[in-house]
Amino acid sequence: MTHPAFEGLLDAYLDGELAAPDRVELEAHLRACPDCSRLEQRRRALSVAVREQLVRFSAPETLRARVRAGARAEAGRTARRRVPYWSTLAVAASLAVVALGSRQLALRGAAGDAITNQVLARWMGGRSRLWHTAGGST
Amino acid sequence: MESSELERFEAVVLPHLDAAYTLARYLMRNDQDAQDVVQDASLRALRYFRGFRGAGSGEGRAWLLAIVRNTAHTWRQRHRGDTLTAEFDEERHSEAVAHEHPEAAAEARSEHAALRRAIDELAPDFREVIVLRELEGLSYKEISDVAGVPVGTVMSRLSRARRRLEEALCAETEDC
Repeated sequence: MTHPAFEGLLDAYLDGELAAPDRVELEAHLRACPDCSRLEQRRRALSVAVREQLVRFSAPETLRARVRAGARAEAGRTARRRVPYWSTLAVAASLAVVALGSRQLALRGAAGDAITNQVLARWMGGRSRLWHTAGGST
Repeated sequence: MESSELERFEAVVLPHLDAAYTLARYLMRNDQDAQDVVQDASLRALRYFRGFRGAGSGEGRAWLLAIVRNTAHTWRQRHRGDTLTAEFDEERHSEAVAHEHPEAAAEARSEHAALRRAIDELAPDFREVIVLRELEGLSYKEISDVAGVPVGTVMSRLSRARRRLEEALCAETEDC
């Protein structure tokens, strides 16, 4: 294993994120290379120091209260915006009536149109025949 | 939102407020901005909560941290001018750190302070992987979800971040 490859994999190794074949190879290299072994120890010590010395902050009580209050206010706002169940039903029902009504009208309209067309066609046909006859007769 | 949904939200989010605040605190580097970011992030979280189907506590934490991270990123971009000024105001920054940690004045020159300073001076992309890995103990996969980058990028960022910390400590404490 080369040194650049070693350094690239070292952190994943220390974090327990290196899969078996690479891990075995890296451990073999560690045993054989004192420089890399020193690097590994230094990196491990750094990780320990960071974990021990960096502050884990606690969310201030004021922030906790603000988050809770904000969530409740926002939830209240969206709940008010939502229409109550019964009125949704009422709107749905009236929409259904309108839809049904217009479908009936449309069907009736379509049927009416068909009749009108038939009448017209017959009338036009008659007329054209008349015209034809008339034309032929002249 | 129904009250049961609000309760579910509080059960998922509130237990991770310390983690959220810690990440925001390291990303923003001051208490007030960190609090504002977490407040903003929690409202965003509430808005997206219907889409959240995670079951375990770990998923809730990673989900919230991802929102905090993105909110902090937006804030930093919006207040880029202020942040840059603050970043280069070395003296004021050290004073702020000393003020926030009462014990800091006593050990100002110790390795402890040097390490904290080195972390503060890392680029935000490096700082966040260090916090997520070392303080929160997230896996590479979880960090990749939070930061929105591939696992390979998490690995190389962690590696570079640690090398920079080593170099910074080495330069300050001359112990290397």
